[in-house]
This record gives sequence, structure tokens and C-alpha cells, in this order.
Amino acid sequence: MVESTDGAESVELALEAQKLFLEALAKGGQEYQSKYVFYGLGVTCLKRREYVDAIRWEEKAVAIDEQYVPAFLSLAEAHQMMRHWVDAISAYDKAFKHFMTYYSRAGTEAARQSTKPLTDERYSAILCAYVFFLRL
Amino acid sequence: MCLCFLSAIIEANSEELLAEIVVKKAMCYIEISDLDHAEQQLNSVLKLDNIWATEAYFLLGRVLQARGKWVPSLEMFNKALRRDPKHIDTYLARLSTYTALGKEDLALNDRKMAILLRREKLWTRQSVVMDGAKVPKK
Repeated sequence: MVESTDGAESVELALEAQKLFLEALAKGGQEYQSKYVFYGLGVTCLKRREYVDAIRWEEKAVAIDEQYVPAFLSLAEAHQMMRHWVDAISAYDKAFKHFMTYYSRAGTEAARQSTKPLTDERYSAILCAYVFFLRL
Repeated sequence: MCLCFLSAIIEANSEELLAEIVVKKAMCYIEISDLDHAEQQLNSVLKLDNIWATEAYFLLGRVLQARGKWVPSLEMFNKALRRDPKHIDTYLARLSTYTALGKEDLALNDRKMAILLRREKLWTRQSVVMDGAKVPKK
């Protein structure tokens, strides 16, 4: 099995990231109620083995964007850790189904956004992308 | 610039990510004993022939084990170990197959190998922690 680093250091990092995302959420406003913030919170909960919370945040993320593949993947992983096998399969199915659409859309969006200034939401998006690929 | 760079990473990783999704889904199918679906998923991963193939061979071995097909499961485990000779779970699974086939000595070898690799893994992790430890100020 391919494993991510699972040491105390990465759990600490997750806690720091969680604080940042919660701070962003506490600021209120439409921009902070984004799928990126919810997804980020879900991933940090997953890393800290808070699976029930991870499911709750990721469900919020996919409620905003029903094609948001990274959130479906985290949701599936959280369900898997909770031994909710059928729910995990369903989330993996959705991730698979939207995979190509999502990433071709993400590529176009990235090219379009690259000339724009760094807003809070874009900052969250970049942070989430790193969280996703490095898995903290 | 940053997002462009990330989209390039996404593209490069997309095939592996797809394989990861399918392998993890297959794991869930095995847990609910839906072996047909698991097998179907895993065979599709093998066609991609990327880093997830090791895991796919290992899980296919488990599917065949669950069906009582000991010799074909052994072949799958051997394929997994050819790709990754340090795959602990495969040694542990192959051990059961060897036991079922009455090859107790080979089962014992796999048990020893699994213990050795687990120790090695633990030792590596500890070394990383030791190397990264901060020296307290006097």
C-alpha cells in the first residue's frame, strides 16, 4: 500500500492547517464558505483521525460543488476508516465519474485564474491543492 | 503561475490517481464480499500498469484466496512481490495460501520475512524521528 507520512509532525501540521481553515470560516462571508475551506477542514480532520467530522465537512464541500473530486476522495477515505463500505464505494464512484470533467475544468480554470490577484479564496484553493497532493 | 504549475502536476498524476480510486474501491468490495466487482475493478488497474499494480496483484490474490483458489492466488502474490519485494501485507497473505497448500516451511519463511520487514520499517521511522529531533538548549 502506498502510504503518506504518518508521524506526529504531520498530525501537528494538520492541527495548524485546521486552525487556519477554522479562522477563515469564522471570518464569515460568502468567500469563506467555500468548498476549498470545507474540503481543507475535512482533510485535516481525516489526518487527525476525526472521521465523523471529516465526513461532515466533506459533505458540505460536495453540497457546494457536486463534481468536486478531491472532496469525494476524502469523503470516501473517511467512510472507509469508519468501515462504511457501501458509502465509501458510492463516494469513490462519484470521484471516478467526475474525474475527467473536474480536472479538465480545473486546468482551464487554473489558466484563466493565473493572471488574477491572490484573493483569500484563491489562497484557500492553492492551500487545498497542496493538502491534496502532499496529503499533509 | 502557482495554479498553472499545480494543473501540470494534476495532469501528470491523473492516471495514478484514477488507479488509486479503483484500487481503494476494490478494497471496499472485498470487505463486503462482492468479489466479482472487486476482481473487475482490479483487472482494470492492471491494464494501466502503474505503481498501483502491486496493490492490485495483492488484492487479486486475496480475492482468489476468498474463492479458495489457492494456486492462482499464489501466482498473484508472487507477481506483487516481484514488483515490490518489501510489501509486508503480501507476505502475510501468501503465508495463509502456503498454509492451505500444506507448505508449512514456506509459510514460516513468509512469517519471518513479514516480521523482519515490519521491524525494518519501524526502525526507519524511528531513525527519521531521531534525525529530526531538536537538541535541547543548555
